[in-house]
Amino acid sequence: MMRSGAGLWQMAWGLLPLGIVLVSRDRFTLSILAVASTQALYVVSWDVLSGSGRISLGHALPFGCGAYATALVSGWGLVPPAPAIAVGALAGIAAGALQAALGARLPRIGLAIVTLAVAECAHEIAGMLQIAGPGGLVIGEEAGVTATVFPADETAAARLAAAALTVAVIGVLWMVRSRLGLAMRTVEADDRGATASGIDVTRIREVAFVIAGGLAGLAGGLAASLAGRAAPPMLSLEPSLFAIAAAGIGGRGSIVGPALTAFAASAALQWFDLPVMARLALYALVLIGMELTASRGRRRRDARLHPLREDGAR
Amino acid sequence: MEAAFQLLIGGTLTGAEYALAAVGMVLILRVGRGVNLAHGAFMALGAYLAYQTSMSGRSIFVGAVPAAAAGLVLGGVVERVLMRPVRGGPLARAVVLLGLGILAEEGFLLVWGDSPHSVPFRLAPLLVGRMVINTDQAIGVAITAALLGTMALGIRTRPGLALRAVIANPEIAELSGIDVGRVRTITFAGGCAMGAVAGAFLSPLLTISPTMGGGQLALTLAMVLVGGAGRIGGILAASLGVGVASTAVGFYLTPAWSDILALLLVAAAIVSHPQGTRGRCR
Repeated sequence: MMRSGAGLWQMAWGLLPLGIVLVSRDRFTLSILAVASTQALYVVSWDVLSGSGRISLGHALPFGCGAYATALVSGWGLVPPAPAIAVGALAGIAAGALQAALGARLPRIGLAIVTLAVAECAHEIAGMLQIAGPGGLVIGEEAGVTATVFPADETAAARLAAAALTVAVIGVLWMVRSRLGLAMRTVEADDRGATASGIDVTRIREVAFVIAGGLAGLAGGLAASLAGRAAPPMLSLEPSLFAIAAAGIGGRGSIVGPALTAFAASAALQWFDLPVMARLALYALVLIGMELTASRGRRRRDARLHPLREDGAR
Repeated sequence: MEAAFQLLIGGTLTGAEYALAAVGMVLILRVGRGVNLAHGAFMALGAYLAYQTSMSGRSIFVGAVPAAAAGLVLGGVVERVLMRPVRGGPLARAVVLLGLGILAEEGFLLVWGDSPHSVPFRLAPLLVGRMVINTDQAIGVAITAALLGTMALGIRTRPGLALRAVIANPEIAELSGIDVGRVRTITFAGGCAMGAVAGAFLSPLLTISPTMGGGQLALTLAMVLVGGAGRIGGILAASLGVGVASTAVGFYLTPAWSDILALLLVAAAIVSHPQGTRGRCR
């Protein structure tokens, strides 16, 4: 259990994005910060899942499902724009539940590939999806589905997104300190030990998937509302890699670190207007660098614990 | 009915060519203990090199030679520089290889641009009754069969025994004097070369673009996982089956559906046989 002082500091850091949004006045900056807040919320959702010891390579699935659900219900005028974002969160929960049903019992590598395959499937289908939009127009395919833009002005949009991020960070930090959070951390540290302690490991992982899916769906719904569109790239590999890279730099499982890293990185990437391929290459370099750095640490630990073992045999 | 037979022939030939890439992936999975998520990039590299040689009027079989050489050299370098230092299990290796695959796409974009390319068939097709057999593909399948046959014989030699020992138990193999690291490097390089050669053979059937590796990876992975990572016979059968199915789906629907089919097969195979991705011996 973390000390309460450390928890207060974490919460204080979690308020930083909202503070930056509240003091910003420039409309361009606010529009960048709004998107950065949704991206940070999305990365927090990935970090919740990784906190249960599961690495998803297809976390874009709940994000994209949330975006599409929000765009469909708000674009059609079935639901007012604000509740449409909640519909996005529900769609994210459903996508998270699907990932849990498929992958909660799988080994880590199996889960990673299954989540990647299912998200890529959804990405391909979204690229071909044709839907009758309002006024009888056929919408969809690569252009995506239009959503009602909400909130219309940049200040309100940035404040809404930053407030959602802040509430999510505080809520997740509270959850980490609850019995559920303790169980998740135990499962992450040692799933066999957790089973021996009477924890239902599969159940805990399923709950983590559902919570992470809900938060990712909320982020997707917000992203679609802010952009006025849900498009196939929201389901592509890029958002999934962004989450892994940001969480890796910010400190996996620490919630606030990944959130702030994602907030800063997303703002910087928008500011420099990097093309998608360059972003992907950047994320790929971060992933490779992250694993090599982590491996160096593991090798040092192995050398300390098993000094007689040779490298090649492992 | 005729169209169905034609699809069956075309799909079987295509699946047989994919078998080379699938067996290469299995070698890496079992010896290197990692899912090569960059395998599609090596196939794309082979396809690009075949395209480059076809520009000077040569056939894909000439292009397969530089593809094999590039696969061997780059695969060896990747194993030594990226795979060997990685600790943390198959997932850590898979993540590094996924990153490498993405970097390769960027490399293809820089060298060959983002516009799609195609490679023509050079030889006239064979007519058997009313069925058309693509001669380039038939030769590709014959070379694939010869390569896989040579490999099957090679498994029974002394270096093949070392390979099997590393698969069975790397620590005991090390104790027996086998250089496990070297066996892994050679196997990884060989597996990548097989992927690149398969990419060269398949190049006339594919739209060559920087992002083509994703679809190739999905199909190859589907063949490996459906066939079972420990059974070469199963992989060959799965290659033919998946090849026919994806060709039929691509013909009756759109090519994107054949990617979706492959991805669904990957997910279904892992969910039904979770240990398959670990490359365990069976």
